[in-house]
Amino acid sequence: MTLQQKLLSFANHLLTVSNNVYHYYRPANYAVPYIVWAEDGEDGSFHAGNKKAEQTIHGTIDVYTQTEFDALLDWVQDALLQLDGCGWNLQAVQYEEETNLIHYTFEWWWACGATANLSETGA
Amino acid sequence: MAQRQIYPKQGLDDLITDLDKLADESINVVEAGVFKGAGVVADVYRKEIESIPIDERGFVRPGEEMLHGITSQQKAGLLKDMGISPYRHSINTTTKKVGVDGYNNIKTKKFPNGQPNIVVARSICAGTSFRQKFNFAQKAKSGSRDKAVETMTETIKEEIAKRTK
Repeated sequence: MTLQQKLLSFANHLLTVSNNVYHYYRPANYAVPYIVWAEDGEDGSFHAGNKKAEQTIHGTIDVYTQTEFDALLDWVQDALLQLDGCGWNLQAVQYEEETNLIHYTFEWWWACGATANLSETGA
Repeated sequence: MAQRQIYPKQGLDDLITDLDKLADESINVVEAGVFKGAGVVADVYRKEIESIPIDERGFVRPGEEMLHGITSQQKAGLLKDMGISPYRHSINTTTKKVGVDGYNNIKTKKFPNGQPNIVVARSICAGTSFRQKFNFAQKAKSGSRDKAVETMTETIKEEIAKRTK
């Protein structure tokens, strides 16, 4: 899989737990609860044979809810557990006084395997 | 028949002398390495703060676009009060932290002495429901790790060489 194919499959995987899933930022009009996810770079990739052998993408998932003990968080954790090669942790839980939203942040790392072979993609 | 000498006596004595010298000086060697490594991390941390986008709105109401950055006053506060902590020694580790401290000059009802820079930093790094995330601390960490390790390795090798001439 190419990098972008991996990211697209990550997005589709999150859509199995909620319809309100946004990439990078939420729109002006939104419904609660909602999820915002984003990749933010590479972290801990593996190099061998004088080239990159495995690319590990790092990112975060932010879940915003006004429901105490929301089952959505369990569904997000289950979804992350189902992903082969994905490491993750619940990085922070914060309460926003201004909006009464509970903000959960997950950090994730996903090893993407070797990068795409350009001749296979026709590029 | 000649006997094979595996550890010449003089070589072993020299090695023991060098190890004794380093045992007494190990904290200074480690501190020199950590000092240089922290400098590398701090330079990248400052560059990442400088790249945080500016959004002078300061707050948004429901139905409005999220904030895409911080105000120029908040950014000035982060740049003014970022720094490196003193050494922290525990049993097998010596560390320095790079981060922000103090208060900016935006006085509010909630923060009459100015907004704590750490609160502003956390807000932009973690993101909120009304501010888009821009995790400059994570970028600084992953962007400086390799160079910091390389710099600390070279510094420690030089310090060991100085002491074992």
